[in-house]
Amino acid sequence: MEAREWQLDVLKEAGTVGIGNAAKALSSMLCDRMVYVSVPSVRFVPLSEAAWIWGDPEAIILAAYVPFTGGLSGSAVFGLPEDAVRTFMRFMSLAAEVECEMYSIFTEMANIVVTSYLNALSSMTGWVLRPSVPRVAETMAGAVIESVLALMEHTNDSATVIDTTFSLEGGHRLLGGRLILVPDKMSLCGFLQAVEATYCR
Amino acid sequence: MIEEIVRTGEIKVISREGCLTALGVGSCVALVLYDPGRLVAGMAHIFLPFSGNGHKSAMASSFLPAKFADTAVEALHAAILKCGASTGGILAKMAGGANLFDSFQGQALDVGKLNGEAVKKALSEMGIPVTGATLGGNFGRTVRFYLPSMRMKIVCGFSREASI
Amino acid sequence: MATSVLVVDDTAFMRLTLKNLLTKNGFSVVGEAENGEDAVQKYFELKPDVVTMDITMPKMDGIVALKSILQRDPSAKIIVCSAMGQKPLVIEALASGAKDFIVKPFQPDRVVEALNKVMSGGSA
Repeated sequence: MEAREWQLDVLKEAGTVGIGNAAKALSSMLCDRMVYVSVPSVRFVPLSEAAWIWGDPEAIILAAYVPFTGGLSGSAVFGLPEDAVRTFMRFMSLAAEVECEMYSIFTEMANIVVTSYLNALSSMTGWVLRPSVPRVAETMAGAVIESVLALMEHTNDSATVIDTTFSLEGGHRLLGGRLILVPDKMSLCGFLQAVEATYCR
Repeated sequence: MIEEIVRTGEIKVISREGCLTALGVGSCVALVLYDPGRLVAGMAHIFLPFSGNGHKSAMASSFLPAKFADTAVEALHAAILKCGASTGGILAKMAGGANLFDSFQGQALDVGKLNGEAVKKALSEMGIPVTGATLGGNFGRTVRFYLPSMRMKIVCGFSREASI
Repeated sequence: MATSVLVVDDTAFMRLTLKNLLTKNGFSVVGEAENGEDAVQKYFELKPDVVTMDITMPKMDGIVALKSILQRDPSAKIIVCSAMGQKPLVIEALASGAKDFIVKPFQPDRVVEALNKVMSGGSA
């Protein structure tokens, strides 16, 4: 297998175990409702196309930006369409009895989902990956992605994006969200090597 | 009417009639330079403030003319001159420079603010007057600039709207 | 007298969730803290029987707070309650003196069980 192809495969595997663990955590928060996940897509996204990662750049979403450090560093973005958030809250067993601000619930949800994703990546390498406290915004999807990329150290015009989606059935339609991981280019190489060392021993 | 989408890092120019659009602008700045006499306008969708220091060697590998504020303003200026604008009559309008994640104890770097400041500095150095600007806030914007009206319309999602 | 608990978590939602759960099960939540610094200060102010400690928090994280409390009061009973279920971190927390490590999202029973066990002198 070619080096580049192999790298993409490792990242895809990382995305699969990551979103799998995140979905398990989300399901448990939503009273064991079934959470469906997509096969991750790993892409090199040019900066000029980054605003379209979510589809419509103007779609209003509730997004949590979670920078993380450790053997692998980068940014994670967890997002839900704004109308899905309240439905998710209804599905949470405690939401009914807890009168609480939506942002606070979403922040905790993002913390658990992103951390669960990182926990899975940690188990692939044995490294500790430390997420920071989620920073939440409710605005256009394109603006979120653009702002997250601007906060990262970029040395060229594209970003490696591990894009995963999840959904659950709510009434008549699917409620979907997204978890995007943008690893720092500098730390990606070491991560790939560590995974190789763990898996190919 | 022709609507040109100006994506992150890009520069586009229109003349006589049309619309320049930047969708979902966050910490970026959508800068428009226009010549009311000749009805030429160009938009730059600026991503980061500086091509030097902070982002080492970034410029060397960037093929995006509007990636950095300090070089984008000059590039945009040159682009509209090429399409018939006159050196004397150029004016500027801009929107963007938000800090979406401002709630975090001010610990996050405010790229939006730095972008706005870098653009203003470059404009003043070139002697280009700013006739309208809406910068900052914690929300994204879609920015449209129309010819021949020379109005900039800003939509922020929800119900916040502005025209400058 | 009811067991007194200090709940440490950066989100209001999680503090409220834990508070409701613990109160319903006969514990008395005597204080809340939203970061590690706050937690250390409130611990020595309130002297609770047990602390539930989140890890990912602003200012000072939960592991640093845990070590800081245990350094001054080795008898402190602290249960870590975090989404960070990564093995090296769980080992670090337990080796630093945490009595138990609950990975979020948790089952309510698991939390009550952990507190009861710690109060009866057992450890994870």
